[in-house]
Amino acid sequence: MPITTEGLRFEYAPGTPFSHVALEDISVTIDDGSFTSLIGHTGSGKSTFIQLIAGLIKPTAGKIYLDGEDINQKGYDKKKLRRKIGVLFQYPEYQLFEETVEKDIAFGPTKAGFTEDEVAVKVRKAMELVGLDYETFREKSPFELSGGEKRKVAIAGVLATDPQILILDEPIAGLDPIGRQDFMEMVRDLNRGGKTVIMISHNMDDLAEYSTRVIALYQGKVYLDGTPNEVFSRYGHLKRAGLDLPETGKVIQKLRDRGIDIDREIITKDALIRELKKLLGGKDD
Amino acid sequence: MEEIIRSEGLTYRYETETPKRPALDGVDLRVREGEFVAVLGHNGSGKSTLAKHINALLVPSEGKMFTNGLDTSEEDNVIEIRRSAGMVFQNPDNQIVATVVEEDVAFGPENLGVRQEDIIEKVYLALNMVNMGDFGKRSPHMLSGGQKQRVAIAGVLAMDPKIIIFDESTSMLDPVGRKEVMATINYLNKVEKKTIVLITHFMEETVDADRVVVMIKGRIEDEGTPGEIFRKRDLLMRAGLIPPFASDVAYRLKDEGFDIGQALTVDELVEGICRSLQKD
Repeated sequence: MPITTEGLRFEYAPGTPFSHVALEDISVTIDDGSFTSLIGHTGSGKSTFIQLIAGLIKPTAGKIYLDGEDINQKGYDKKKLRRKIGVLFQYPEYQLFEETVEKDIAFGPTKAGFTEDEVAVKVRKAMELVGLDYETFREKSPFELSGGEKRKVAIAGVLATDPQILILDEPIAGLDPIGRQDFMEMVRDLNRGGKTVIMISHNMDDLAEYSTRVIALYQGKVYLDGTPNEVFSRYGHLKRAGLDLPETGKVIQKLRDRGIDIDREIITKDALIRELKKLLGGKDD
Repeated sequence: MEEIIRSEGLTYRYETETPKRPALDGVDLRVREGEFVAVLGHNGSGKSTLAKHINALLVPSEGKMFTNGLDTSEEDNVIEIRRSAGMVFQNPDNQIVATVVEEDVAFGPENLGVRQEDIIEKVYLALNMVNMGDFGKRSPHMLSGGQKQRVAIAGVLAMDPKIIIFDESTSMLDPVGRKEVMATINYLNKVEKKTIVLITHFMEETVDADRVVVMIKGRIEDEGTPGEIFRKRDLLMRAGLIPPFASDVAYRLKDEGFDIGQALTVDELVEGICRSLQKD
């Protein structure tokens, strides 16, 4: 169920003195089962882009196709879109509201019209996917959980309707380091299990480690698009767009500045350590 | 007076909970005037509970806490303690009370009864310290997260505190905002000579501290310079902490037989690699 956009454009307050073009001429295809990261400085259009593909706002011009169907054409069943795409917004734990974890997660599938038995199965499965033990957590109040656990409840609520595409907007912001690591590993497992993941994050190291494709937006346009190795090795381009390098990139750039020959396409910590070992080990011959 | 913060056998139990163990369990914390101390710990380690004792937001269930020489459990001391120890919290949006930056910063000194003509001077002195002097007439909600947090810091500075406590003050900010706030904290310590207590679970924020205190389950497990603490892998593991990138790479290289020395930052790592390459 790929998502394809054609000449997508979005303008805030068009025709007024306050008009502002947030996105312009975006034509991309996001493949099934991919893990696509969206990077860009604040104001680059990332959030506008995900709101468009989630069908929450309509483009000023251009088309969005889900599975070959134009999601903004007359008569398109928006319910189908809601079932296929699950969106986790920033600080989703602020949206928890039910008395128990189980009820909170059940809200989506209940509204989608599943029977009580079906809902129970879906809730249990969603909790399993995010690593929350059903018996331990089902009766707890969402408000007495830790930050990382709350966020897992929120994502379980999204997963309970079994969307094929998961859109995550800054999902690890505000979590502690171990909570971040756990969360990213969970997202990776969901992706490996077949879900398409589209994620916005400022944490370049996580994106370098986990994604299969990186799209950088700059001033409302696609600025870089490629594998993490391709995108994160373009130091000059990233800097110009106000983007941080992953830590690995910072080390490699500084080594290269000192005249040391080391490959720029190394972007993960493990690969860097392997390369440094070669470099240091080879110094004797 | 040398020790500006001193706790003795500080123990604290939250009333609402029925835990087997207290949130703080016999903590002896000592901070010298002008020192930059980072308190590191995982969620639930008691680090924020400890921070709230320093300016008497909480008072000990057992033991004592002295701030600026004053016993925090004496009600009469509370105002003086709050004046000498200001606190900056996690979420900048919850700390801003006014609709114009300069009014927000003036809130503290106004409540302390500072004369009107002195207030504006204090406000701009404070805003300049956090590099926000040009934003006095702006509306806080138009600022970035990092800028808002710096306004919150200015609000604390306007009361002339000797001690500033940062309780996970960067955790909701983006990388740029985080850098701005960390640079401000360093400036306040090194140039303005403020005593700093930084509560965090990010090890990379502690590299400039004079001393790092590691908390596990309500107790101080260990303390030392950042270099001393970062070297102790077992301790970090037990405390649920993840070492910064550069220090982890250096450590793993050493594990594989390539000792390039310790590195707390990317620059130190690069330096260590270059040194090792030049040796032969």
